Amino acid sequence: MATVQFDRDRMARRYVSLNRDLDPGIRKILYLPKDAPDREIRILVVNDLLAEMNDALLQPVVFGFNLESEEEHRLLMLDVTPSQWEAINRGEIPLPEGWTLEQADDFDPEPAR
Amino acid sequence: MNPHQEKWWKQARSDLRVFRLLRRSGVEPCHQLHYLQMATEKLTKAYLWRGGGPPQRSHAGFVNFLRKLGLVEDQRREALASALDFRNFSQLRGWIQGVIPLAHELERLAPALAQNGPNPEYPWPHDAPVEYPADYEFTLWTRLLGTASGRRFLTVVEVAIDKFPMYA
Repeated sequence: MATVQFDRDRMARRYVSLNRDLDPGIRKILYLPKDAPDREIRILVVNDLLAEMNDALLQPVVFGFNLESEEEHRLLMLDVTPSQWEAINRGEIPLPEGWTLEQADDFDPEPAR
Repeated sequence: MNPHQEKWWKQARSDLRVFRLLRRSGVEPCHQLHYLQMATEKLTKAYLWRGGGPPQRSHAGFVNFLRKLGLVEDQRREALASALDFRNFSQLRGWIQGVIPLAHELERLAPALAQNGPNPEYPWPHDAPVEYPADYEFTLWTRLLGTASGRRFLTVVEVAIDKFPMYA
């Protein structure tokens, strides 16, 4: 059976664009492709509307798409407050295991379909 | 709908029934908000179980439900919009864009996120309470009942729970 070529970067760009349009609280979105499995799209979102949380353990929310098809993939979104983002940058809060800011892509906004 | 989704949906539906009872009885808004917040939390969990794995405990907020609706696969868009009583997906997306701030506000009512401030369950601040929910005027509740967009928000929440099997 032929395997569908999954264009992760293109899908990531689309999700970033769609999310930017949806939530006015979003200050920054980063796509973090390094070390992610092929069918996993990792996105970090800095959101002004999030409640401050004392939880130092950051965990992404997982959305599954095109389940049980050749296009199946997962979108992992890590929501952080601006103060958590600052703490991440200072090295005070670790990203989820296996995540890294290396090669982070801060896409320019583009119109959603 | 998988069996895990069904469990969360049925609990959301039960919470919604209590919410409706509370609305009809006219009890203090804090109790109505409490059940609204809980019903949306369980609806979110039911939808996030769609991916097959358990959602993180800390990501039960209604914002993630709306977000997932807004990102739905192309082939499911129109059926989803129709199930939620929107004319088309474009109208649904426009509605989501408008209500995301309300959804954030609803999420922040959960005591764990309320930052020792207004929440529908416990007096605050914890160390020296000066307010209590039953006597508090929640601006969110005023907006939900007193504006067209707020009333629409409540209607869509109810539809989203009632018709969950159609788009789960």
